[in-house]
Amino acid sequence: MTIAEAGASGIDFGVAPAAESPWRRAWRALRRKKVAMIAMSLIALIYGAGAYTLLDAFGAPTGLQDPLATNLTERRPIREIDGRVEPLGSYLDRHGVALDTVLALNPGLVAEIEAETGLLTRDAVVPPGTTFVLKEDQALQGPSSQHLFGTDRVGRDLFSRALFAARTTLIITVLAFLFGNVFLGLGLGLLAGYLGGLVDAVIMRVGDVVLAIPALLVLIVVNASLRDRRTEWFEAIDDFFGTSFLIDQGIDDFALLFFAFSIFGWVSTARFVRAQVFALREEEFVLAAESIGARTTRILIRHLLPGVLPWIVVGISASLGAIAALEVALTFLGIGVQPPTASFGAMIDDAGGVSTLNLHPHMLLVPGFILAVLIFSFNLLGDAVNDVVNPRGR
Amino acid sequence: MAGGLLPFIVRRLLLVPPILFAVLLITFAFTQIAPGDPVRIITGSRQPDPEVAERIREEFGLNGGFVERFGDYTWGVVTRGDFGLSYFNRSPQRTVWELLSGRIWVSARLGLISLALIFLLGIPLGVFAAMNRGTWKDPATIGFFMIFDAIPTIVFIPLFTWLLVFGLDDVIRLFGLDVPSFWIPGNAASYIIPLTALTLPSLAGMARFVRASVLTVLDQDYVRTAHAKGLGPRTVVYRHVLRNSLLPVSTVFALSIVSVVGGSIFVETLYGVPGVGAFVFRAIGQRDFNVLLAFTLLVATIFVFANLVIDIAYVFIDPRIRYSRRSQ
Repeated sequence: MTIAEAGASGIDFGVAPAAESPWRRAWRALRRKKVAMIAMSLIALIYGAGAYTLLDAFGAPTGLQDPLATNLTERRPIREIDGRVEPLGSYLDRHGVALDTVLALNPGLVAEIEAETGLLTRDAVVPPGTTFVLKEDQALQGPSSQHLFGTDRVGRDLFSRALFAARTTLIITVLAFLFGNVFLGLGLGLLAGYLGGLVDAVIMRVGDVVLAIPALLVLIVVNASLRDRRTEWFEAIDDFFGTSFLIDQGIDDFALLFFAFSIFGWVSTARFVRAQVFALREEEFVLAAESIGARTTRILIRHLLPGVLPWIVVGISASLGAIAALEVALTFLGIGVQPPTASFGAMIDDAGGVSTLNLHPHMLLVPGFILAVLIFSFNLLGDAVNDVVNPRGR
Repeated sequence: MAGGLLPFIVRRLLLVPPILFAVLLITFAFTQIAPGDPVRIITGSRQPDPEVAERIREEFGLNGGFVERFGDYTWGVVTRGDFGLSYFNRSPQRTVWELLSGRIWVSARLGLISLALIFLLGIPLGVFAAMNRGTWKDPATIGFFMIFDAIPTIVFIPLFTWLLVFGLDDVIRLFGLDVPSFWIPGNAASYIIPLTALTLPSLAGMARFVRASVLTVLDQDYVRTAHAKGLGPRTVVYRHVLRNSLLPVSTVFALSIVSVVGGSIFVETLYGVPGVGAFVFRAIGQRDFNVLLAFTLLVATIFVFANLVIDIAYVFIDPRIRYSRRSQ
């Protein structure tokens, strides 16, 4: 009889199963919720797509089309250089276009020239002033095999723009969450709860004022007043490190966005953490730690943090969804992500109103659908996690 | 229990001015550290004539240090209701208050109707979901309205307008309605799209809140007693459950106001409603900071007073609430 068989036959071996950690138990309860798992997969898909395009930030090839490259009709004339007509080959190299492309895009013109001078090759000399179409106009195309999600007004590929927009969302939401909820919310909440007294009073009154302020409006004023300065700041940081990474990646575009969001995002987390710490700090293990002379930071991090961490995790989903939605709102107001950086807000904004929707539905539907799915999934997952942790009210 | 109702109200009222003052100070400070000389924004010229610049500085009260200007501004707001001059509406020069007050009624009407709809529709939905706990109807109701919470207004308005104007226009006409694709003053059908866009996203939140509240009450002993003594399920719900579960719902009021006011910027802009929201949207682009400042203050005031009224009303409605040290 193997152990498995013995277990199945109900023989009690007298060994208690290892106690399950609360994290593991919560995870198992969550696993049983189909809706939560579907929501999580969708979030993982969209964030995964965003993470994939991070490769591009480190110079690795992604195989995607350039999200910023426009595809509008481009015509260039053959010029005379130093009094000599340039050969077709040098003309093509100068514009970075293949001979086949030119032949395919200019059938009429090519046939005309070939009738006079014979087959067009790279060595051919074409009369100066001849103007070839070098790039086909691909603006406002519907979905096709070449452009899975179609193209926008200037012919940018919406598939790759959507992926890069997911990256923007990934960066903004994660940074805003880490800075606002975790760094400010958790940090200030722990301090207020453990130290109490004046520190507590100051932190909580500041929180009261912040909560009384209509966040969106202050964000508007803050962003409107600082949007010209932020680029300077980030150029300064780049200069300091001798790179242009931050500017190249458009970090300056949304740095203020996540920073501003953090300022308003920390209060509810801090209040909650504070309340938890109030309860925890009376426990014996904190007293024990204090009695053997543990420093405040050690007590906060080693003894109190583990007790409040689950509550932070519970809030992740709802917070990330709210930040993603805020990006769209602020970008529409012209104070979020700046063009040409790809973001869902910028894509939706580009799509314009009803008449565009009627003529080119893909422009609004692609970013609108992805974003709605993302926010919806975050909300569903948030509810599910909440149910698992706090089963009352079911 | 220390203190009575009156001291409680006084104490809450005393908290209002400092909060509003802090809001004013913060927003005013940000408009002041904005790069670029306001004179340039006002004149729209990079190199304004020094004489003109001096006159504008005088006119807009831009001379003096931060404290002096902040003092002047606050004094003007408090004593005369003077929110300064608009940077952009200069021929003829209009005050911010003139511009806002002329547009407030359209926005207020839309906002108040939408608020009423959020409560009138959200409460029954929440009760319905709670009464159907454990069946598919509960998650389906809440889930359906959560979809609208996830669709940004900027996406919803074009989609919904397209649906009513192009997609389902034949069906709509059967009801004798002709929904325009943008706001037409005096046309009652113009209200349909902005009201829907303002109301739908908030319904899920309201319904969920009501649902949770009803469920808490359903677990109470007196509900079980009511069932046990043979009252019909309807009577139990109407007489015993609803009345008590709707109390906490009033706390959502202030939050709903904020979401409606915030939403009005987008809805009015996208649908061409000539209200405060659309005006503020333009002011953002033009950096008409005096307009933004006044609007922020206006909304903060509404918000703070809504909270205050709710807090006070709460004590009246539910005598169990101790109004002494509630905020702890």
